[in-house]
Amino acid sequence: MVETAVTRLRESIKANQTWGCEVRLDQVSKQYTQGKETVDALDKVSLDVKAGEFLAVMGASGSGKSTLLNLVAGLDKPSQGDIFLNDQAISGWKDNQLTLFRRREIGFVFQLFNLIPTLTAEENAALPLLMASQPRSVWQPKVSDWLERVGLNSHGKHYPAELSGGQMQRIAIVRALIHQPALILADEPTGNLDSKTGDQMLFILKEITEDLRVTVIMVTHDPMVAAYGHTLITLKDGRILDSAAR
Amino acid sequence: MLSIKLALAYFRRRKLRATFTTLSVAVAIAAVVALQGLNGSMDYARGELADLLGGQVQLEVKAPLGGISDSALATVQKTAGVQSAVPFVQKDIQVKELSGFTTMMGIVPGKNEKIHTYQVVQGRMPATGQREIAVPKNLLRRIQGQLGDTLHIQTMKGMQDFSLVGILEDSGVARANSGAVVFMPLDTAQNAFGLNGKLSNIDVILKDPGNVLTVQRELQVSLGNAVEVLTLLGGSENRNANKMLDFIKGLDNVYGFMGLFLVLYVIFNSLRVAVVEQRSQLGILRALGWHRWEIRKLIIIQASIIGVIGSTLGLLLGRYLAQALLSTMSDTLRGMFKISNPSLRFTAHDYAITWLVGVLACLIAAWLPAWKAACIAPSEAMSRQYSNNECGYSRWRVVVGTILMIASWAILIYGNNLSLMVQGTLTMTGIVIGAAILLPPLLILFLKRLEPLAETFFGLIGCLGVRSFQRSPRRAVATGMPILLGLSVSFGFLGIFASADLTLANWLKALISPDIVITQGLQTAASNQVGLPEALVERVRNVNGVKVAAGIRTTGIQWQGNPIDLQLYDVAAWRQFINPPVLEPGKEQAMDALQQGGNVWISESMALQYGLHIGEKLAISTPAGAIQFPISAITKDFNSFNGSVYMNRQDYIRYWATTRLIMSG
Repeated sequence: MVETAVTRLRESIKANQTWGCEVRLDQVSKQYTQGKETVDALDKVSLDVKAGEFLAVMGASGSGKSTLLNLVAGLDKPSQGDIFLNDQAISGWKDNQLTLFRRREIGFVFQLFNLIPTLTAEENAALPLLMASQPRSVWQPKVSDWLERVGLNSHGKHYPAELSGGQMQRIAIVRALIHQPALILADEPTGNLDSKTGDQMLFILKEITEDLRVTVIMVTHDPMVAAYGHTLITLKDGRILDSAAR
Repeated sequence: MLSIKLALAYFRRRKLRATFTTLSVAVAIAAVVALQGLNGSMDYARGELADLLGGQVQLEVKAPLGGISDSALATVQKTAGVQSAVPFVQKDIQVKELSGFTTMMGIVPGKNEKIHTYQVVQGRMPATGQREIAVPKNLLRRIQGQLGDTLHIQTMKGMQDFSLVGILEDSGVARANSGAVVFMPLDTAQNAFGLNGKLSNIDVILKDPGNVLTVQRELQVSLGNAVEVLTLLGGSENRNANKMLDFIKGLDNVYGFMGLFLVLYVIFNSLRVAVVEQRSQLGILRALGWHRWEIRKLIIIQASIIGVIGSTLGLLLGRYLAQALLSTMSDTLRGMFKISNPSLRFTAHDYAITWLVGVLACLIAAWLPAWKAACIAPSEAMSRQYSNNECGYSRWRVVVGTILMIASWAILIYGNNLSLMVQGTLTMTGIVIGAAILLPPLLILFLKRLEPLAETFFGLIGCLGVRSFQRSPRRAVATGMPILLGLSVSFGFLGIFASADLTLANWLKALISPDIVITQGLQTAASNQVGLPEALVERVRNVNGVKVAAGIRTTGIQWQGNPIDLQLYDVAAWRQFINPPVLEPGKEQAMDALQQGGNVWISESMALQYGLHIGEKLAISTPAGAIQFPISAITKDFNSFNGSVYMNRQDYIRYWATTRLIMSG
């Protein structure tokens, strides 16, 4: 059942001859309860992200950027409206289906890197492959290639605590891409990096995702970072304030 | 694979906690092994005694050290009421292949097997006139021998060869001396050990087992005082000792289960903390596509690793702990059961079961933390927000906790009218819940007092976790309860174990505190089936060198439908060499009252159980009708769970019209 849904989605992605995933939000709202108050994190947001598009989402803290990412990733469910991935509504999917979809089709890049501290850099980078129970003989060459591509081939055996912020984020980018996902969700990927390292990261991310024609949704509050996107939307109080293509 | 990698990686990161948790499991499993091993040893010892002395034998004629003439056999056989008499010789010998002394039993092949249990598993029993032996499997294992081997035994004629023709199952008489025993034909044994024409013992089977006392008396008269004619202990004669051992075994089981409970608690607590610590990591894994069941699997694997290592270590540790416990008990076992070398009895099957129980306990305890871990929402887990709200502690905890503790103690002290089960359950529940409620404020107050000291002496600032406990009272309970439980289990076990051991020791001491004890059998303090003649006391008193001789009898009566021990003493003499633990009134006053007669003492257990007090009257049924005996004293006595009544033997003679003794000292 789970396999079937995900496989169908993947086949539909391939059928469109792009590796990227089309994302559509239709009147999506999300309310949270804080004490006795209800807070509208997202308010009837409609959005269309083409396959292979790099969407930057800007907004101040609390504007609903992270909520948007969580909903697209299936980590949270919308209060109203629906989310479509390649025209398939994910609201009816069971937890197992969403989990499997995340594992196979989504790559995450977080602001705080979120590497597993007890695994080495190469194991962290290979995590999606390890989750798929691929043997070392399969994932090791892939990881080596990717680490070389991001300039960390000599750091494979290091633990996260032994890496700098920039190095950790490069590992996180490799982790997000190594299993060739259709969609990259990046939450303030340069938020914890200095501007020079941040630029390098974004360059790597953009270059690779364009090569692979992966859809990227990146949220940030920094206009310089947002400038890397093909399209930019600005959120305020859970609503789309502005939308611009570049 | 990833689960195992992550589980091991977490343990590498939290070495100290992983080590302590594993050691806790090991210690708890060791306690289970030790206590169950001890129980097994006690059962074995009891079984050994029953097998040794049991069978169909009702009487045993026991010779002095030099033995008795084999003509005594004919005398025994001719005695009225005797169905058959089977002689044997017994001697401690040295076998070259074995260290220490081995018991040699010279038996009459074909006859002895009819009254004792011999299970030949290989070969046959030794044949008359041959230098042949049979040995138990246990002994064979020790010498790593096999059927057909030759063993070398030191005899009166020097070292001689004996052929091993039979291997016996480790049961029945083959369990004597913990299996360090060889069986050979009677005539061979007599020749080899200079016992020609001599016998050590004669086992007697009666035509009518109910006639044992009469036949015993007749045998004693016809054989003279040089020999002892003993009635043999079945399981019932040593009732009090057996009850006490059952009590100790029950305690062992209780503490074994408490050990397992601790395993559950320690694992549960440790994994709960582990889940909290790994919350962010688990959230990442969920976000990246791990299923809930994979998160559960990770926690279960962590528990399994602890369970497998802890239980394995526990088995090894338990073996040594059991040996240590056994050595503290072995004097008692020796005293109770007359066995020479009690050894640990814990089979491979027992080890396997205990190991499995340990691992399973860990898995059961891991279930809830694993389930909670699987429910972690990835988006929440990855957010770094952390509550800094300090809740402190609520005053209701102090009030409710204190009330519960006081109420529990009140039930314990004043709730004697309740059944033991109700009283115990209410008390334990109240104390545990009360302690759990009181723990956070107590722990916080205690640590607050310690904080300045920690800062002054060790330079530790804010390292005692007060703020953490203030934020989460449940964490205080989770931390404090295992410590409290562990301490209470340890002290409780030590206290009760010491108490039980002391009681047994006192009980044995009470038997042997006179310089000489004359009994009609091996262990007769609790017997009410046989007796020594009253005139014996007078004869003993008249023996040159005897200062005091007191007649004693222990018997049983029914009181309020329960069996009660009735202990009867010649108080005037008895008080000169006994120091009974009288609780109230004073010892001398109690002794004076008992010596005066017409009143009784009761044991503390009886007083508590039935709510009896000094001055009240105890109605006891006697052949002369129900007699009201005022209670003059309360004493400590653990001989009977239902209670013991102490009475002047003259009162007993008056109302029961019997002068039989079981002992004079």
